[in-house]
Amino acid sequence: MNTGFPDELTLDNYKEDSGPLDLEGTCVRAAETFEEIFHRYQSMVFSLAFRLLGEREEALDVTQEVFLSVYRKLRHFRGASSLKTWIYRIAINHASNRCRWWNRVRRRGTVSLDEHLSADDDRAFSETLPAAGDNPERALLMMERRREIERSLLRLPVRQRVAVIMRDVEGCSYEEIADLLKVSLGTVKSRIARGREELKRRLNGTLESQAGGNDDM
Amino acid sequence: MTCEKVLGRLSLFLDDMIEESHAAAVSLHLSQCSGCNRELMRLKSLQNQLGSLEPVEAPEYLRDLVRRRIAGARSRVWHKILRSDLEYGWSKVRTTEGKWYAIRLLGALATVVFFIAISAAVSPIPIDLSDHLAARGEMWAARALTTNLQRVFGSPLEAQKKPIRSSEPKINDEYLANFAENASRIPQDDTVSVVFMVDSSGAARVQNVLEYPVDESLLDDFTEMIHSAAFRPASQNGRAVNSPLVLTFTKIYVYN
Repeated sequence: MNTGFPDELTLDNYKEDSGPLDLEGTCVRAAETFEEIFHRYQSMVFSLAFRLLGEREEALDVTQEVFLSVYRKLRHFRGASSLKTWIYRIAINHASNRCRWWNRVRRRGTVSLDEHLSADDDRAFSETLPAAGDNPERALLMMERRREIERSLLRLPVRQRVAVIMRDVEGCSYEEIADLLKVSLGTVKSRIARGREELKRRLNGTLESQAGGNDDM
Repeated sequence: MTCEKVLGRLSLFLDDMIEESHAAAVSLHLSQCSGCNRELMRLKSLQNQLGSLEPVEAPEYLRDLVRRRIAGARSRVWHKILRSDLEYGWSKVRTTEGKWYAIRLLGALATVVFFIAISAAVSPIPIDLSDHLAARGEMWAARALTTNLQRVFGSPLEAQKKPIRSSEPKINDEYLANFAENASRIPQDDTVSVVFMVDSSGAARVQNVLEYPVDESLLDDFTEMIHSAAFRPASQNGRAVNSPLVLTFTKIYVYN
């Protein structure tokens, strides 16, 4: 099978010395290749990078770096954690580094992140269109709320942003986040609580209407 | 339990991560306090909205980008890989606040130590921090600093601390008496003129004296000077040849 990737990327080549890889509890079949790993996790990595960085081009770049790291380090992967956790960790590290770099540049005043925050969404136009059959007014409202949340997320400190996204967007447990970030459970609790508090403060109006709506229901 | 404490635990309560001992108290408080209950509703709303964010689909061409990136990485030679790794390592330092500020602090300290060491090595004024540091009870620091500076730059501090030992004064009574005696003599000019040969090796020897000086010692000094000097021989058609020279030396007394 021609995967389009270099031959060395097939798992067969390093399967003998690295032992079986654990893909979500299932041992990798001999025929599985890097192509399959990429296919399985590309959306997860790209989506996470986009949520953390808020910019499509940056997310694309970080995703490439993540899979390059996966390609290089896969031989050394010993299965101490699941492959998904391992890739998550690499993605978070790369994206966090990029976030900090951006923050530093922004502080120097050479580039303003607010430019792309205030500009129209980076996503392709087709992705912003409401699905057929939706109420256009409601779809527009939902889109505005989503943008507001995304903007608020991007204004959080990087560590809190990572914790909140991993918990509330990606749906990881506290223990998983602590394992991913290599921090204590207490630190994860603190970061999530502070991040949510800050988001709540920023999204004051939006949440009021939502909470009111919930009360009405 | 007060509202303040409950609000601080709402996030954990929502995720069911609160300690059991607190859970009942928070729950009881929420059933009685509409303000805290409303905050819980807002937090739930926030959680729902965050959870409703849909995953962003990766573009089709991402696969091609990754393939190219990997192919590019594989074709790189070792020094490019090393450079890339170093750049990556440095970028991690630059982007990690703690490491970055630690590196800057170390750099600043190293610069200060370097300039202190340089100034201690070249300054004519002995820099001795021992007394100053000893006065503050930091004798170990003074010893360490002095030892390290000596190790790097020899021992300039010790050399600078040595007192200047002056010999007997050269301008003494005897000198002044001789000076007066010499000054009272009537000085006169003196001239010596010699013929000497510079051979092809650059050595010279006096062949004849054309004019003898009044002071015999002048001729001796002059001859010795010529014999000890190294000359560049004359050349003819590119080859060094012997050449005779005449040199005249005149000692002239200058009067004020």
